[in-house]
Amino acid sequence: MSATTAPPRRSAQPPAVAPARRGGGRGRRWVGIALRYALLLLVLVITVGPFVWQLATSLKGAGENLFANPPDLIPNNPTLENYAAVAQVVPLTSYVRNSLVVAVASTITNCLFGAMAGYALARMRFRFRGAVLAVIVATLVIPFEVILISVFLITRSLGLVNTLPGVVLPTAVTALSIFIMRSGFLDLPREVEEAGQVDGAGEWQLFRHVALPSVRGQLAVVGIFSFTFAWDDFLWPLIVLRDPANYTLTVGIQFLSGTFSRDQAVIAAGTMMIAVAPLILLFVLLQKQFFRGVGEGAVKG
Amino acid sequence: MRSTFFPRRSALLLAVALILSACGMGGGSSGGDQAADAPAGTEAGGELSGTITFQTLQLQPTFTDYINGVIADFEEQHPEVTVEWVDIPFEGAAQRVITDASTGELPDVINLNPDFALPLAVQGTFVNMDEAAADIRDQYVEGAWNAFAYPQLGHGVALPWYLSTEVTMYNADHFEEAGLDPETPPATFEELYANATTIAERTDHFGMHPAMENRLLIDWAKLGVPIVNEDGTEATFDTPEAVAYLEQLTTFYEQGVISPDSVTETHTDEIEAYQAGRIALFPSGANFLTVIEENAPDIAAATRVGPQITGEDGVPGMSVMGILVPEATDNRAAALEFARFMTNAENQLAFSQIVTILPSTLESLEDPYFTEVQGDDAEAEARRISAEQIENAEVLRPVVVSEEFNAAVVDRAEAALLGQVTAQEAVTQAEQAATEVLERSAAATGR
Repeated sequence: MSATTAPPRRSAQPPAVAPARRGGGRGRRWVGIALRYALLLLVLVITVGPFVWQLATSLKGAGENLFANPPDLIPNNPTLENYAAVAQVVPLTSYVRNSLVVAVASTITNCLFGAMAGYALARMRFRFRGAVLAVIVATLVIPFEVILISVFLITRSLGLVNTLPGVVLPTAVTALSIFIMRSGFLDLPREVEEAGQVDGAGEWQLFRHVALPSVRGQLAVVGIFSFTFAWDDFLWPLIVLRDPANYTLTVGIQFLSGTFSRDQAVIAAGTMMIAVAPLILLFVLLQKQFFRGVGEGAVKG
Repeated sequence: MRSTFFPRRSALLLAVALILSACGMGGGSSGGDQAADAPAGTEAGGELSGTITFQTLQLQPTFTDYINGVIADFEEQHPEVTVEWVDIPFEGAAQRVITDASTGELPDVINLNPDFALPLAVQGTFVNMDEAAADIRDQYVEGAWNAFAYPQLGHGVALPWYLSTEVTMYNADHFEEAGLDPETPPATFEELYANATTIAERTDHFGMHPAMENRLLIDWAKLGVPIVNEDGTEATFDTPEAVAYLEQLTTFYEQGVISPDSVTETHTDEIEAYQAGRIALFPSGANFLTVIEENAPDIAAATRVGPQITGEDGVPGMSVMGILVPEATDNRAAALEFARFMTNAENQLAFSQIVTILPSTLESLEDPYFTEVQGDDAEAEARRISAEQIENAEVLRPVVVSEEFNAAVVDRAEAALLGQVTAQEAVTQAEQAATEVLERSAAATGR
């Protein structure tokens, strides 16, 4: 699974450079580089373009046509008023707090339970292990809308309707988290754990002190996935939270666009907060782990 | 979501309908209002008491003060009653309402449009307003009342609330640029087509936007095409008029009167295209004038308003919001009284003065605010035109038409515009697909 995180960036380098060197000719090398950067720029425009438009829109003052054609990316009267307007329209701090509680809790539970279940499925031997794995993987393909009502009924019988734990619970550990962690543990060389066993470590100690530190890359991936999923989730919080004071940011931000008004600049400012806030936070927290990967081996050779 | 003029966002109604058919509609009381335990079923005359919950569709924050004001007035008249107001976003509202109905969590009074209400209403979820509000029925716009009178039920289940009706917004600058008279908006489909063609030929702009996902069935209905048969069991729109309409759009696509990407686009894209000045004609709800003003002031300044483009019978279309009372409420008397109060002439008139919507009560429409409009800006003109139209207006898209039905038809229509099938083939195939949708939903609801 580590292959999906850091390595592609690394392995992308050598092949791209090597043929250029073999080609020898200076011109061909420049063509190769130009082509590469042209492609990179294209991808940049596609992925970052809408984001830039949204950012530009959120900074535009009254009186500017937001849908001008071609798009006008430099605001004539740059202003932060739209951001202030978001806070006036919705109780932003409490929505952000609720979203943070939900996202952080979801990250912790997914990392913890995902790692535990993944370790058991990768390393321990017990009956029906294959069947358990199959059932967990099968849940990946069930759309949430289908089980919505039964999940709601369970949540209600637990007395968690209209509470933040009720929002976290259905996705406290997802099949994807378990699957990613299991793959991470499978990739570890058994010798390390065997060495630990020889030194007298129990199953818990092996998990906590030997296996877990070696899968930080996977933990970071699970953490980022579960954080962004919980942060962006809309339908479930809308259904389970009855009192508007408990709404999370994605639900609350809907009220920026009224039934009869759609001030795109304010909406853009609101969505920028949704998009940007968790990104910054995640990068500060997880950047190191995310790029480190797993390869820093405990076993040489 | 049926509404042409209120925002359309739901794409999940199909999924919702499936969930609904898989789960029995649980009865049960609305959650969380223990205060209503005392038997509050006293009929008219008795003093009302208890707590009721009132749920609306995305009216905060613009109308927070208005709604709270009406609630305060009501509580003053009925001191024993407490009204709790919950406002939920439009997005996801369909799923929320279905889940609430299946688990007995519906509020006591609920604001829905005919689309959201349909899957629940056919299961008998809501109080029969033909009986419960028989005395005030004729105070409401007839077409609005009928919008909630589903043929499967044979009676109305809502008190009509606010309405919106289509007007023809157009960019006067584009008209002048093309040498057309900016004071003469198109009044018929022929004139609309002629204007659109002229503008596309003589200027850099597109004439119009088909927004078929939103307009196709309504335009057909205006042209006299019968969309479904009387009892709503079969699609019946395979007519020469329907074919001719698609052929016209196909020609527009080939001639560049409509933009190539607009074939598969929705009403939201149409608004954006108009705000970007890419299209000259924009028939839609008058309430979108506010949106244009907020986002594209220069386009708003050039915008003029004409009456709705109608077919030969001249019946204009409209979209409707209603207030319903679920049968499961444990405070029926107070819930009904509050629904009446919210939709009465006085309160609706006050509502319509905040934004360009129309009241559904005939008395409010007689008010000078609508009959003697001051000012000559686009919004005032739109208000005057809308109020004139509304009394004869009807919801043109038949109430049995679901999102799935619409999607099946639009899918074939798009194929016709792109030249994959002929217009006649598209209409025939669409009719078949739409009938299948009706049969499936009939089987699901066990009719």
